[in-house]
Amino acid sequence: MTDAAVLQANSIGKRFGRRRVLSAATLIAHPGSITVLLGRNGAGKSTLLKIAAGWWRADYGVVIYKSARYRHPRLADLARRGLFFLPDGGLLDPLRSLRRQMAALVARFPAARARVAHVLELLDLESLADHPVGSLSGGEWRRAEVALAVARQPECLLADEPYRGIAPADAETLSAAFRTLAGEGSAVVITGHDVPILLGVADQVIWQTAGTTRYLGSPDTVETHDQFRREYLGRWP
Amino acid sequence: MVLPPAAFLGRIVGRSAIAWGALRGVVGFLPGGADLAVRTSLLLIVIAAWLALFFGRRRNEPLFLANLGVRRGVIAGCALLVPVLGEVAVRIVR
Repeated sequence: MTDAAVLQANSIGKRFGRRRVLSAATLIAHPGSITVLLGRNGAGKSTLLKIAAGWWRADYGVVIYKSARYRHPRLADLARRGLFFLPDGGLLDPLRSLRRQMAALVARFPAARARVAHVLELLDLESLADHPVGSLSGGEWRRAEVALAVARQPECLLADEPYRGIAPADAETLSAAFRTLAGEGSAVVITGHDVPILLGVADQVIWQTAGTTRYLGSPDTVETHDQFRREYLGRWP
Repeated sequence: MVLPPAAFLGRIVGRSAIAWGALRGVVGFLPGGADLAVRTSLLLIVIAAWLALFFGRRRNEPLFLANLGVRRGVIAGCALLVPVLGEVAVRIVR
């Protein structure tokens, strides 16, 4: 952690019909740091991330991005200011190659041009970049989405379950990519359930439970947190 | 206002043009289809744009473009462009 928060989502509430998913959730992302958001299925991790990214609207709460306050932020506005949202699937066009979609990114953000070759190498995608994304395996597709995010070099990356369905070797590749981004000063927030991988890459851990968030600190602290162990980790490790 | 990159713009406009053309073709064969009421024209415009956006959504366009800084309203505007101009052109010609 090197600086003040680049992104804060404060006291976020969200209800779907009768079901309240978030009641007072908070998310803070610091430059140069990887924050991992953990929580049981249905705890509202993805919802919080989508709201913080400006993709979904909160019922209440405020998002502060680079000192600007938003009641209802829009992803397009935040993206112009350096945020990138990597959803849980559904970012790339399955009928187009990664290279063509990278070209669209470069057309909008020319600074990405110099990073494309390096990112394809970093994520081991050079031989796959000219194939339609729909022809890639689930893990390759996920790496392709992360490649796009890394090429953008966002000031803040919100990645929803990037490790889902990823083989251990590929997970290491993704972790290296996230560490590279954080090393360049980006604030990275990741959700997921792959506890060993996530704790391995995290600088700080947030636990989403009962619609709220608890800051657990470093991964070392997490393993000694009794309630977290009991309610989330179960018998792991 | 940030417009979609040229490749995406072409696809959105192209899809709405095809949708509008197809709808116009179908309506043209219906009784009274040669001379549409204004409300029917508006309905055709909305349906054509909706179809263009629907098929774009299946290809993850809105989220991809939002990450490039393109607002959803701009994408919708692009999808409306050809149907609106088409309907106006048809009325002028008639």
